[in-house]
Amino acid sequence: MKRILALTLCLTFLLTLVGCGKKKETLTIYTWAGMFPDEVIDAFEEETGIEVNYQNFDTDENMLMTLEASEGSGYDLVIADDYIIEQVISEGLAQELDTSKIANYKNINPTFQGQFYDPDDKYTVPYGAGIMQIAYNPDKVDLDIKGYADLFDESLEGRVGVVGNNRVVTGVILKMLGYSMNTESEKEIREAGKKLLELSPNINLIKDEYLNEDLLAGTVDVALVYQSQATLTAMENSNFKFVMPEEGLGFGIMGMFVPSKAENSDAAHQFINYILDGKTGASCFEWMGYCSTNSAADEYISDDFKSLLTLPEDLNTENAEIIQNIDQKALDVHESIWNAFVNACQ
Amino acid sequence: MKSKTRSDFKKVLPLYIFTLIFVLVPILYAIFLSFMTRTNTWSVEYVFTLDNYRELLKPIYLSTFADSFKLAVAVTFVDIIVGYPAGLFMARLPEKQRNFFFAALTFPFWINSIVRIASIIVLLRTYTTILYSYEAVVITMVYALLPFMIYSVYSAAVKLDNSALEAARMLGASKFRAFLDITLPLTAKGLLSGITLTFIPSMCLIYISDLLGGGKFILAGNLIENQLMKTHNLPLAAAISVVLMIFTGTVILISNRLEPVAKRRRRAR
Repeated sequence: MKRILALTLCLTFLLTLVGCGKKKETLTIYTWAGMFPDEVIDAFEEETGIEVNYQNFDTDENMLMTLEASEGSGYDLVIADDYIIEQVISEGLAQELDTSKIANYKNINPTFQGQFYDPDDKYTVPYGAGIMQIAYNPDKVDLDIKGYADLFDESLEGRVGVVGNNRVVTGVILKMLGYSMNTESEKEIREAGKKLLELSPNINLIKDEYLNEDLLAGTVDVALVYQSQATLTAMENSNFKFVMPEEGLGFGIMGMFVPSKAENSDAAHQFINYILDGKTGASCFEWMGYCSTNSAADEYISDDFKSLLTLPEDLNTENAEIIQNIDQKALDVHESIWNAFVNACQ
Repeated sequence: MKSKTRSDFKKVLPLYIFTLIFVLVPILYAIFLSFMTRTNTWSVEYVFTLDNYRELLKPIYLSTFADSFKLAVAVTFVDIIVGYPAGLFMARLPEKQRNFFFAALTFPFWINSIVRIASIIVLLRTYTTILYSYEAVVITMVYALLPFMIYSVYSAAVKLDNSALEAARMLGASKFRAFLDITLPLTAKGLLSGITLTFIPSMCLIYISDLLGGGKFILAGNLIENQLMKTHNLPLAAAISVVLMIFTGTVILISNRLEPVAKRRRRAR
């Protein structure tokens, strides 16, 4: 008898809890950790009364697997990288945005629209972009670094770090040779592989995360870094120099999209609109350390970071490229030349 | 008698079920996967193929396995040189001091290994120039695995009958001879299990080679990680795992074989 009583009590308690949860509107955001400053989330909650439920993934691929498993439900708003969004859209896991609900839609910097993953801008709104840069410490490096070719200089033996992403690093070499980062020609990729081997004596570090720490600590003096790492370096030490390589730029865009079976797509639209506000956007980009994709936000970005977080006026976008999905055969060639490179770095 | 066996069986049944679900099924699934075909959309097609194993014969994979093996040998060797005497030494101490040493060996395990390795990075960066080199990887692995060697040797050495040693010395054996004929064979079991416990993990402690080697040293474990996280080639990852399992099994088998040899040698003398 006692047991039944206890069980009933428990059930009532649980049901009340569920009841409570239902009353409050929630917005479930699914993205990497640290994509929004707490103030921005708090202010949104206060303004709209919508509770934000922030959930993390560590890699784009994990996000895709989760969405595939839930068939596009469970989350109201996802922020991920360009190439994976292409896959998400092709699998029908994203829904078209209703731009009439997004008053600030006009603020988007058109440079970041109409890209390969969403050519008609039906599904996504860009949220931050990263440009691959060369960061170096001018106190220790005598060269005036202008581009990728300078990384090969003999004086830099054992002093260079690169990000641990083979498509990015090999892509940079492909650009240097005048090819596309997304070439599927085996001959071109192999040629880049050969050139890459020449870089190996200079490499001290291949690491995808926190390369900024090694730059600051001096374990490497020059590094090919992601935008966010460049910003983090600049925040700690204003002495460092950052170069947008003359051979061409590799960049990536992060996009927000609403999954096909989102429970609360209205709240997602509200949030997108809120983030597209100039001032809010600026505080987000400064927090993330990624390049602003919001024209209205540019003016609010503090002068210290303006050169890093906004596109230069004279940017030649024709020579800028985004890494895209390429066919399996080309990927296999990429993998084999990368392995040879890593082995040569020892 | 019969009823007794049945009740015994009932008692161990949960263990069987546990082993079946958490050990056998995943291994069988990995073996099954390793013969399947990958598709371009990051999933698996259930069509039989040997391509995954054929792929492993490529020089890049063979050389990675060879490199991992060399590293594991180096780490194990250093661990024997340092850990074997340490284990013997600990076993000979009076109980109070022994407990102290035991505690000192256990303390580091209270701290998360990633934190300990991060501090090694700071130390090496500040006081040496070997960060992101082969030496740094070996040193850190030796450090991480040394306790296992010491424990194994210690647990064998502590059971060592001192009277046997005394008898050997009394009968005119030199110290070295007594060590060779008495101590070594009697602690061989501990040494062998210590070797197994250091050798096998050091082929796969990828976070150490990644963090201390600056991404330049690929271990067998890295190959699996890359196939899973980057290339999304599940069948190939499974095939690498199977090869590694066979390799590991062989090492354990050899060390089990060596044990009776050590015993026999002792009897023959």
